[in-house]
Amino acid sequence: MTARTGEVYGCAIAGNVPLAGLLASHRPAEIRVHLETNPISAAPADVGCVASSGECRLVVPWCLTAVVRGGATIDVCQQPGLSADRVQRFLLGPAIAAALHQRDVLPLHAAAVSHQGKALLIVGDSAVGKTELALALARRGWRLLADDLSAIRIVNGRPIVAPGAGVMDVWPGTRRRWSALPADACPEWNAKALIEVPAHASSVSAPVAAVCLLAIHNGPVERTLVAGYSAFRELSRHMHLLSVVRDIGVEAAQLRRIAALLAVPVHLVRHPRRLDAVNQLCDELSQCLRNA
Amino acid sequence: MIRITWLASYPKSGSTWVRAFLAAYDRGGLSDWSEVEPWSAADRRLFHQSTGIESTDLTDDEVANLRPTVFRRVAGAARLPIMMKVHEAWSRTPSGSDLFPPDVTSAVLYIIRNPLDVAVSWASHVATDMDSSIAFLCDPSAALGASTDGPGKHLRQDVGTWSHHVRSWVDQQSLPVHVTRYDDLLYEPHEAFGALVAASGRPLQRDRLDAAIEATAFDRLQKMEERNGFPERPFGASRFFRRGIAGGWRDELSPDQVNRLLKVHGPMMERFGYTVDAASRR
Repeated sequence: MTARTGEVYGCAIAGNVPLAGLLASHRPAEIRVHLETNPISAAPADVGCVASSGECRLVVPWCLTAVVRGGATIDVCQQPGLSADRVQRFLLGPAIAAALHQRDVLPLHAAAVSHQGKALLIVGDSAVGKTELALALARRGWRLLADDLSAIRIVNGRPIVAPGAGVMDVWPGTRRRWSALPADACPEWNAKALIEVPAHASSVSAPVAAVCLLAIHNGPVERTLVAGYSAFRELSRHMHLLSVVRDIGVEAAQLRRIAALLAVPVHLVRHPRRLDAVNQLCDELSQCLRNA
Repeated sequence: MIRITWLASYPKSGSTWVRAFLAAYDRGGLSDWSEVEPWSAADRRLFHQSTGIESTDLTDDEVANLRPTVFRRVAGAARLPIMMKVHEAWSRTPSGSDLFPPDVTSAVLYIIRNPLDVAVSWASHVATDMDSSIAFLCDPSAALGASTDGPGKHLRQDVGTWSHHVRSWVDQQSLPVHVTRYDDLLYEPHEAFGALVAASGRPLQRDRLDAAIEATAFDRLQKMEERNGFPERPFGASRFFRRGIAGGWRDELSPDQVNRLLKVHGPMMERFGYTVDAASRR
């Protein structure tokens, strides 16, 4: 279901952009989004994010530009013809990550799932299998909190993760393997698509009980505990918009939040990217939460 | 200004061996894979770190159009010369720019290997049968990282046929290219590796050259893989450094399979001195 107002990542959001999977909210808007459609004149060399204190400018040539100010407004200019899926992907990806940084919330490159009120973060690089694993856990009755961006707040010293939009960004292969998705959910067979998963999504924040650093290697599934500087370094590497965190002026504060996140166990889970490993991976992640 | 040396080759043609050799030459020896230059031109992380944009949020064409910018940013941020491994064919982006920008290029080191040996090695590497491997070497639309199942750790790399790959790099006019035959690295290592060192812009020192050739002899690399593993070995493959020989295809390809490869690649093979005796064709 698409809406122009609602809640995502713990923030009430409103604007003239229909967004899929927003949670209902009656709070006054904290982030206002304004979208207009005009040809984008940016050249390839302009690609990326430039930030100063108070303002972040995101440029994706041929797609859109976004200016994020004070964690309160996002002004988006989209290329004519850009699909709603792609607008949402950039808006609830890098653009809102900038707003979260400005609002002193830590945006991690992670999926989040919860079980019996405890959340597990699945942190990892793009294409490492976060979404597929989160969906596999949903099959086992876990709740989906967030797909690619997890918004972390530290409340009384404890890390809390807020629910994202109730959508998952899935590749066709994942869709084929996850039978709960409707057969016509991906209109473009070869493309990634946003799929609403309301039946499995959680609408409440949950305390983070464990972190899984997911990585691919050429051996069997392995799980090891990581601590200290290694864990800190790996988690820091997975902040959204890492290259401009210093320019936004929140680097020290975000690193303190990463340090606070180390209060929970951090597991390095390596897997061979084989389908038959997914069940074993789910077992390992269940173990992470059981031990927490 | 820092520039990039592209270490280009069709897959399974010896570029990992050359990377190991150059690392050993620079360091005076080699004890672990972590000492080998890690850059890969198609690494998704490189794209993300340089642009702040997830490559998976873009179309293949948009990614390709942005890659020259990525390479310029990587060169602009580097403090030491960079060597990047490349397995895709030389090409232009959909918007018409050189994919590998000449303004940040130092040189291209192109490694070429007999496609009959490549076919055998590729079949083992991706755990497929020989006919499928041969079909890949002859497929004009062959690409790496192009699964619609979901993204891998590398971006899409258009490879094309083996002959197209060779022609694309050797005959392009934008970048200076030094061509090395795998066979020459095996049988005339001092001349071939020495020329590679010079082409990469390094000062040639005989004692370093000798030590690096010895440190990266095939049996030494195999022992290092046995001892420490190898990060690029595919899951299920028993080893990455398999035989390291030239002409091994004679034990593994049927005459029909040889003929299929010759039909497509014969002229290019001949250009680089790869001939096949009549007995192997029957």
